[in-house]
Amino acid sequence: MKVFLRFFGICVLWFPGLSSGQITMTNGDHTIEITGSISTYYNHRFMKEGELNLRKNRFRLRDAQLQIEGRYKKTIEYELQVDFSDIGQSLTGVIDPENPGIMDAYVHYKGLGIVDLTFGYTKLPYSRSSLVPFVYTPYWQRAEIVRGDIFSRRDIGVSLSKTFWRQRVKIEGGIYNGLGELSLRGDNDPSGNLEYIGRAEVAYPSRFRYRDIDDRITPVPMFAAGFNARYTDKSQPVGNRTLPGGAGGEYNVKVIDGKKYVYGFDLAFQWMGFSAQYEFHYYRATPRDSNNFMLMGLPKWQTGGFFQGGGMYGQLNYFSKPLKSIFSVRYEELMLNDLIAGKMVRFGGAYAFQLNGWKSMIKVQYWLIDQEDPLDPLRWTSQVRLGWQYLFQ
Amino acid sequence: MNGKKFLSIAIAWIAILICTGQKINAVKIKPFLSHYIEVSEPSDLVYYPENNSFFIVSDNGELYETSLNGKILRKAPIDGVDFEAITLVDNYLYVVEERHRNVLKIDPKSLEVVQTIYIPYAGGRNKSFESIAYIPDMEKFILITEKDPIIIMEFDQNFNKINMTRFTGARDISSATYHLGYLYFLSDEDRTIFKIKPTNYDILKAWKIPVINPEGIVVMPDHTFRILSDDREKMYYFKNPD
Repeated sequence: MKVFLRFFGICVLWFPGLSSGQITMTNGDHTIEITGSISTYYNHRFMKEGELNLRKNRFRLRDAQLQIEGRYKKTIEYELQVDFSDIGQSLTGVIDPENPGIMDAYVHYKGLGIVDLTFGYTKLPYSRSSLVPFVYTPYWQRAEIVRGDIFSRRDIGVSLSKTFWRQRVKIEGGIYNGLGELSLRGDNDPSGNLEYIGRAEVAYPSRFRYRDIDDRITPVPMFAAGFNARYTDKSQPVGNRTLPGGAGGEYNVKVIDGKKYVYGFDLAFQWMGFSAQYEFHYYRATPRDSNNFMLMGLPKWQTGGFFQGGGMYGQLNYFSKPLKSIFSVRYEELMLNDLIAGKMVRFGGAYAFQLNGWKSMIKVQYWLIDQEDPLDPLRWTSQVRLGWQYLFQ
Repeated sequence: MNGKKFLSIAIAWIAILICTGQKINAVKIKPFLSHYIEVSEPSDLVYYPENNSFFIVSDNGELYETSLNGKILRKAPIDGVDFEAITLVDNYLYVVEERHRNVLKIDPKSLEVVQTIYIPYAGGRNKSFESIAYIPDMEKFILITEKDPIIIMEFDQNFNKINMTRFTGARDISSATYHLGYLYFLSDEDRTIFKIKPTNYDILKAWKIPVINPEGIVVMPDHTFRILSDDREKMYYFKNPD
């Protein structure tokens, strides 16, 4: 760790002002822009007594992204974003929901007039944190509840959206495959059913962009609130039909063989460099099979045939323009299954130093485990991640 | 290297970075009036003395003539993409279409486009020309890219490029205008009005304004500033501290 810190310090001392722009081409009707990002960090875990496997103490190429955004006249916008560092991993069959390889491949049509239509693979209109571009945060990882293992963050489908009241209100709803990032493999699950998602958000006194940090030092307090819900019934047909491998995510709750409702709300605030976010999510899962292992072998009269879970996170941030720095603290809770007592509680924080705005930034994040969920025992007690984010945009 | 040494170097390095760049103290000023306008997502404005009105452009590629309190009087029949800047020179409007890198010369009476000038720029699709102004003493137009980097491009009256200068005094420039021998630049991200010397683009004065997403500036004949907020779709009135 010490050697790494020395080397890292020397690197950033030498290259503080590096930046370069993106490339845009236009022919009068059609405009295409190429941008991208590269980020690498070093991760160090502080393990529990007796734990000898230190494989997570390593450098990791988090992002190697290339993004092509285009616009044709006033009606069509499209985006193709690929992360080459994750494509290598997904070829092994493992898809990290926070870094799924293909990040966006959609067309947004504004020609209907009444509503806008989005078609393809992109972020789902659920959870404000999920909708914030990650490069505009001082963190290396989102809060556990919104990382993509409890509910999916991206999927293939179609959505309609509309803004009102000088863009301060936005309503969006869509239909998707329901397998999340696994939809990239091609087929739906044997049930063939889809997922339905809706989100409404309101901001005051003006529209509130999807950003966590108040880098514009907003002179007037700004607020935003969002409410979202989603539903799918992925009950597998009779026979030996099962969900695709990995559909359940890290905790086996992301997609279940049965019905699943998820509800949530989020709040955001910013003023004079200070900003705060809070999100709460609740899910209720009803497995098709009353013997499903997530019902913990309990009788139906005791469980009602379903289990519940959810969690929250709160984050406070401060952007100091003269110090070119972002300071942030985070508190998070996650309960995977109400049929087992206990929940995960974590504290954390992040600091980012902007060498050249968001384009070139050193970020450090710290996690401290306070409580563990009984369904997800950990081998480590705390973790620190330090690295460099570089955007060519 | 021990921890103390590393920390000292880090602090020294941060201090050097903080001290770099052009620095000027901005004085805070407050609006004496503000009101909503009828134009959606306004991005810049220019005063039109002949009708005592404004021409306002929008992010949606629309050009409107409005009353001084922002009520729409006329809409140009132009199918633009995203208009970000406007100025008035010799009784013609010059409107900047950012993504397509076009400057449209428009007759303010008929609202018809009389000339389209393409100005290549390979930088960010949405970080291209956000400001246009004309310096009459030097008979030149300037176009300014929004950010990453901020480049002031100078053109003669036929839009032949004659010079390029980098501007490092702000994080971005969202609008520019000329008034009585000086340029005035507006920064959205820094929420600041800069008074600029047109010969070398030195910052003479700066005023901090409490406006969310300021995108358009004009200096009125009575020397007051009008500032447009894109996100709030509001117009703010400021006394000129000069």
